[in-house]
This record gives sequence, structure tokens and C-alpha cells, in this order.
Amino acid sequence: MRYYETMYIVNPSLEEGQLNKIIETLNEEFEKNKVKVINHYVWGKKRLAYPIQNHKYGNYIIIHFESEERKFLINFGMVLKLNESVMRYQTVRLNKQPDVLELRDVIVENEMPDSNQITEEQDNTSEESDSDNEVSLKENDQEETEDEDVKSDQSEEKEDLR
Amino acid sequence: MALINKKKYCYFKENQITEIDYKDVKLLRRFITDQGKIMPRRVTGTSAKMHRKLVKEIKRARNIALMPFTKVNQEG
Repeated sequence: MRYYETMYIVNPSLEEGQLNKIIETLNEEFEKNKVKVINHYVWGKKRLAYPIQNHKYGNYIIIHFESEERKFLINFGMVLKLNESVMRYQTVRLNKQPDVLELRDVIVENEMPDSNQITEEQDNTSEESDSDNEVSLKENDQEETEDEDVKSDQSEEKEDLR
Repeated sequence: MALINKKKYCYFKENQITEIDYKDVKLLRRFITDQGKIMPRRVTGTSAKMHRKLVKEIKRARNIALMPFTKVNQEG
């Protein structure tokens, strides 16, 4: 038997219900292939070392399982890849049998869980405000050139498209 | 110029660590520069055996965004 550890990062903006749904669907996938799951737990919400899909934080989840077939690993990778809320995943082969963790033992290591969303929202708003300023500047320019109303309209449409 | 031979010792040998885990970012951080580069063996004094394992785990941690590939022009 070979032991594996898969770590995957889930979109941090998902609610707990949605998170549990993902975990359940993956558990069903394991049951379908008759693979024994040893642990499946949330490691915590952490700050990413570099942004992935413009997210600064991610929910880390760890699975330990044992499997004989390599085919399963490929299929399981595809399942994670096709799941849109999974930002990244990595499977590693373990040398030793992992210890079975009970729910009590699992320590959820959240790094500033409450302030995460606030900072992300702030970043978004600041970006939006910057873009607003740019648009307003352009509009001012257009008002000055009253003769070219038609052209300015066209340019505005282009901006909308962007 | 007389060079002072200050012998470096393998961190892992001194602390009797045989296995490195990519989840242990605190440990791995000792062996990267401020830029996020992996420090050479001649600087850290790590044994060849453990350095090979260390490099593997640092790269694993990078893939899953626990450690940076590079820190140039980034916050923090």
C-alpha cells in the first residue's frame, strides 16, 4: 500500500456550507473508487506567499489516503482540476503511514481570519476608486470638445466594452 | 590574512531531524534568503543528504503557495 497526502487550496470567499459540500463530494469520489481515507481536515485559512487568481488568502485542506492504483491519482487530479473553487492542489507520496487524527487533535491555524475579508475588500474598493477617477478625467476631456459629441459617445461605448 | 576557520554544522544533524515536511514553513524559512532563494550548502553548512531533501521540500512548499518563489517588488 502506498500512502499519499493531497493538499488543496479552496477559494477563501466560500462559506462554510459550500466548503463542506466540496469535502463531501470528494469523499464520495473516494468511496466510488474504494479508496481508504485516513484523514480529511481543514488546515486553516492562510495568507498565500503569492497571489493566486487575485486572492491573497486561501483555505488549506489536507487529505491523507492509501491507494494501490495509480489510475486513481490521475482521475482524482482531474476532479480537483475541474472544480472551480479549488485554486491549487498538490499530491505527495508519504514514506510512512500517517497518524489518524481525531477531530480534537486537528488544530485549525487561521492567520487573521476576521481581517482577511476586510483587507481584500479594501483592496478591491481602492482599485475601483482608481478606475473611477480615470473615467471621470476622460469624461472631462470629452466635455471640453463639444463639437465631437458623436466621437466621444463612441469612445464611451468602447470604455464600457473594456 | 589569516582566515578564521569557523566550522559550520548541519542544522539537521545537530537537532537529530531525519525527515523534513513541506508544511513546516517555519523550519524551511531558515534556509532561504530575503529574496526567497534557497541558500547554498556552503553558507548553511547543511549535509549533502539533508540538503537534497531540503531543496525538494522547499520546492513543494513553493508550489502550494506556502513559500514565495521570489519576493522582489512584493509587499511584506
